[in-house]
Parts: sequence; structure tokens; C-alpha cells
Amino acid sequence: MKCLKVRKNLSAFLDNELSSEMHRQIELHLSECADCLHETEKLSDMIGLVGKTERPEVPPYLWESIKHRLEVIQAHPASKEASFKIPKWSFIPAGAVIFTILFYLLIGQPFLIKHKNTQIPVAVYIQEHKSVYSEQALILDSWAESVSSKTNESTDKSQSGTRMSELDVFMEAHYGGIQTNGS
Amino acid sequence: MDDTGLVRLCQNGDMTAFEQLFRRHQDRIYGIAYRMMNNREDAFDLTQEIFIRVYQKIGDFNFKSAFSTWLYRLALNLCTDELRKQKSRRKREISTTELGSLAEVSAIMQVDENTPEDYVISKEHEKQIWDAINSLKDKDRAVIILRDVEGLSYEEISEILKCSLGRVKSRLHEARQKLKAILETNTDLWTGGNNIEMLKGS
Repeated sequence: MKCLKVRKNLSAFLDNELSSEMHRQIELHLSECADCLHETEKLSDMIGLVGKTERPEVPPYLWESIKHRLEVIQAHPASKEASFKIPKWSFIPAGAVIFTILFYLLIGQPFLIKHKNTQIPVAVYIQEHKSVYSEQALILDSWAESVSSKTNESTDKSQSGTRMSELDVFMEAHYGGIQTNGS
Repeated sequence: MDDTGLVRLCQNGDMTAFEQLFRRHQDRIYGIAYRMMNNREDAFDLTQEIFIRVYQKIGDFNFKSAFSTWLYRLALNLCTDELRKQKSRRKREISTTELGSLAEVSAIMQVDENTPEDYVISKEHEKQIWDAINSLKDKDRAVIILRDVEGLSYEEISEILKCSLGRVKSRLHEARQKLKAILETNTDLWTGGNNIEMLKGS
């Protein structure tokens, strides 16, 4: 048996926790290897010393303290320990609330915001309704071109309001007006 | 009456039986708590906590293992939890006051067979050994305390730590090797002449 394997098993060897065959092989090795024998002696000394260290003395009033605390617990069974316990069922509504909040923040919010977005771009509106009002498609195309050329010139809000007024006039003339509010 | 009989009585609310269980196991439980926590105050508090927990949970004990195994596992778990809590708060080190005052040592000497010199050397070495053990990681310290201080069998340790016998062997081997390396580096146990022989004889 090699030294490495012997040293790996020295601890169990000293505790008599090896198979009889393994124990015999290590004994044989130790009778031939001075280094491993020296290591075994050192380990054995150390284990012996640790076992010989003084045992701490139990304080004489320990039982009295425990007894007193147990009496308090028995007298007030719903004190301390019990009062801090959270009932398991309470996790269900708590979980539902957390789930709802998370759903709103992560998934629901974009949908809800979409419905609030009452102002849609004029060009997009026209594109969407062009197929529905196919007979007016040519008229709408020509109007869209004029609006888009104006859009390139300016993007500020006041001008955007002007474009909406133009559209209102246009739609009033052709369709009796449109509603751009989503409601 | 054995542990099993006392536990059955405790499960029926017999406080006298519980006191008997306490008296029977207090030395080991206090010893484990003291060695794990490394100070008397924490050991005192934790031992109380352990036995109160035992009293509250003894109704759940199902006799599948020995009561002592169940008790030591509970004790070790509470110690480990407490150490985890304390780790960020403060460093653990053996207080020199734990060794007692010089006057106390002298008083003990008078009834001790050893000469004063022998006693002090033994105490010094004991402190060195415990300093080394306390510098180990919690899991290494636990296995050393259970085996080399409390003298529990590999089977008992495997049940307490909930691991295989093979794992106990390897954990104990590793822990002892680390301890030996620390003692070789930081102490004169093997280099200061016949110090070990003096301590052995004390």
C-alpha cells in the first residue's frame, strides 16, 4: 500500500473504523514506513490531547432558568413564539395581490396605456381607414400627401393642431366629421 | 428508566421526566454549545434554548432514531444558526478570562497532584488547542467536537449530520488534518521537547 493511501485512511485507522483487511494492510505499512508511523503518532497524540481537554462545568442554575422559562410559556401559551407565527393561509391573498401588481407592471400596463392613447397620427388613421372607405381612397391619398409634406416642415404641437383642424374641415366636408378621441 | 421511557412520559406532559432527561444530557449539550460558541454566556443561553425547543417539539419525536441523536442534531443546528447570525456581528476568540485568574489557578494547584509548572503548561496547551479548533470552519469544528471531544461513534455522527458513514470518515480526516496543520504551525506541541508527554500526564 502506498503512503498517500495510508495517510488518507489514518484517521479512520486510529478510530478502528476500517475493514479488518484494510486495517491489517495499514499496520503492515506502518511497520515498514517510519514517516507514516511518525504521522500516525502525531495524529494520535493530537486526538488524545483534544479528548483530554477540560469539560466546561454546567452552571448550577441552568435548570432553574429553563424551568422558569417553561413555566412562563405554559402560563401564556399564546405568547412570544405563537404571536410571531404567520398563518400559512395568509400567503394566498398576499400572493394574489403581489401577482396582480406584477401583472399590471410587467404585462398589463402596455395594453391599458394603448386604450388611453386617444390621439393617433393623421397619416396612420388615413392608412387604416383607406381600405374601409375604398371609394374615397384617391381623395384621402391626395390629402395625406399634402399633410405629410407639411409634417416634414414642422413637428411642433401648435402646427400639429392646425393639421388636425384641416382634417376636421376636410372630413366635415366629405363625411360629416370624424372622432379622433378613442372613447 | 432509559431515554425512550422518559421521552414517552414527557410526551404526556411529565415535567419530572423532562428534568431527568435534562440532567442526563446537560453536560454534553452544554459542552457542545460551549465549544461551538466559545463563550459561557452564549453557551448558557443556547443550552436553555435547546432544552426549551426540545420540550416544545418532543411531541413530534417518533422514536425512529435514538433520542440522544435527535437531541444532538437539534443542538448542533441551533448552534450553527446562532453562529451564522453572529458571524457578521463579531469575531470569536477565546477570552483570556476563560482561563481563570491567577489566584484561581493557584487555588487549584494546591489540591492538584501536578506541580504548578506542569499545570500552567497544560492550561497553555489547552488554550492553544482550543484556539486552533476555534479557527476551523464551523463544519470542521462540529465534527471534531462530536468525535474527539464528545466521543460519539461514526454512526451517531452520520445520523446527527445526516450524511453517509463515508462522508463522516472523509470530513473527520479533513478536519483533523487542518487542525494538525494549525497546531504544527502555531504551537510548540511537537517541537518544544516533551511538552506533549507533560500534557498527557496531566
